[in-house]
Amino acid sequence: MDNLPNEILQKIFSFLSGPSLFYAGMVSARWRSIIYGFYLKESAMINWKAIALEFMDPNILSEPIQEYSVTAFNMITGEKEEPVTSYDKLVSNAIWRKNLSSYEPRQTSFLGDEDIGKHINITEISIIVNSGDILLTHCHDKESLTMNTLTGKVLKKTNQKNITHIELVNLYSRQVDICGGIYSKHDHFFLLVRNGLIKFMRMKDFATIGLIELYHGLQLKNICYDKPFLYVYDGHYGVTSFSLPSLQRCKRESVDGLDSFKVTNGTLCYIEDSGKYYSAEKQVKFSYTLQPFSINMVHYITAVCEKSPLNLEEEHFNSKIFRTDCVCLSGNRSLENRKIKRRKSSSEDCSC
Amino acid sequence: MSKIIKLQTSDGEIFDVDVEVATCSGLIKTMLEVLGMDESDKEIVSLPNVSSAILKKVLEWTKYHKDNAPPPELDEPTDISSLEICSWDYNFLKVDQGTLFEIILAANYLDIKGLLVVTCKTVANMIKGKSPENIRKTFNIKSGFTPA
Repeated sequence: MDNLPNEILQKIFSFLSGPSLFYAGMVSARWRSIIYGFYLKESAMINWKAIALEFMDPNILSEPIQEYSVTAFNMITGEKEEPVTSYDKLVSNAIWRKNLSSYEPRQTSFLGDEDIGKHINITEISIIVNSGDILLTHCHDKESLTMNTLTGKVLKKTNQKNITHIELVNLYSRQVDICGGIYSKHDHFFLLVRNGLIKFMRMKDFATIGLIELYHGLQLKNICYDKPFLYVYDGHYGVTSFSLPSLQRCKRESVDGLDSFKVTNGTLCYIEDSGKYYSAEKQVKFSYTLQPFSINMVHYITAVCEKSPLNLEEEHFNSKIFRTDCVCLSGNRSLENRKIKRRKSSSEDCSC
Repeated sequence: MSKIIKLQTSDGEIFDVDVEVATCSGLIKTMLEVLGMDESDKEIVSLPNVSSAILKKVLEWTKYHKDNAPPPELDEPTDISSLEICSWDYNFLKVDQGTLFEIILAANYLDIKGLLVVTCKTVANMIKGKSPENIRKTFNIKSGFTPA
């Protein structure tokens, strides 16, 4: 083991989760310096992350950057602006990622203000979804965390195997908050897709409400929720819709060459490499261009908008697709000196 | 008929290897691109950092993964369930620590990313869940460490 160079040890440590990583840091001075050097001291150099920004001005792009300073950018002009929220709130809402040496990027989740400096849960996050006040992450070590987007507090921690997609679903309801009057409080449900099986689960206790069992061997590609239907895209049948909460199958729509899709207001939208969003009838709904800057390390960007959450992945980012009504974040520090411009297509329709 | 190249290990043994298998290595691929395929027929590619025993293992791994689709995930929890390693790789890497580390070094040297990942994951699994003392015992590491 002593003969392995530091770069190999870094690679090995990159596969460890929080507690194991900290124990490994107590093994020897060398291991400690590698782990602390590359994970903790460089935490100030975290160069990208995604943030749920429910409580921020949607016209502002903000990001904590080097040395934890907060910089805000105007989404239209790219000019720096005064941040509209406190640093603490930003940090508490942040899902951080960092680049480990020259290897694949890993993501570091800081779990709330009071945890920072005391406990840093280092896990590779494979899925990030949010919906209003709930942020849900799934990690490569099979751990799913449900967090409050405002406080960063972990509400629920579970282990679920082989999750490939998660879609958060707000179904109902309203109830009276004695202290603050009447407000809307939703029950959050989410769906787990694994091995051709879609589980419909209740968030508060993770009880399984229903199951959709697809044919064995079907290539399940994506799920999407657009009230009141759940849309399941598989490589064989195309897009199938199920009504919620009954999970009754409604209709199938065969599609050709669909790489990615979103369903909004009942309309199936394609996403193409050219950077355009199409309706099923191939009418351009909107396209968005972020003027070129290098963000090769970005895998996920989580955005919050008034209507629904949207998760943009690397390929979307590279193909320059954005929604008009969402807040998108990029944590790459090079963004600081770049202009962000938006380009409206001739038939831009923000209803999507 | 597929082309064959000759690879010479640190202990002088020469292996005739299918080019398609050999070019799983980023290092060899680059070498062949520099040399050109025609010239490489006559040349012997020297690998001074890899022994014949380790190269055999590396070639076994590359041949398997060239001919087989990525294996399915392990369904049942095992001691390596937290980090997904296919059962073939798991059995393939049931070797002594010295060999495992040599395979890691070879994978790094030859630039075979898949093998590097799976071997590093294997070592990570050996670390995972252990106390610092147990990790030291497992890998025979001296602390050399003064707590702050």
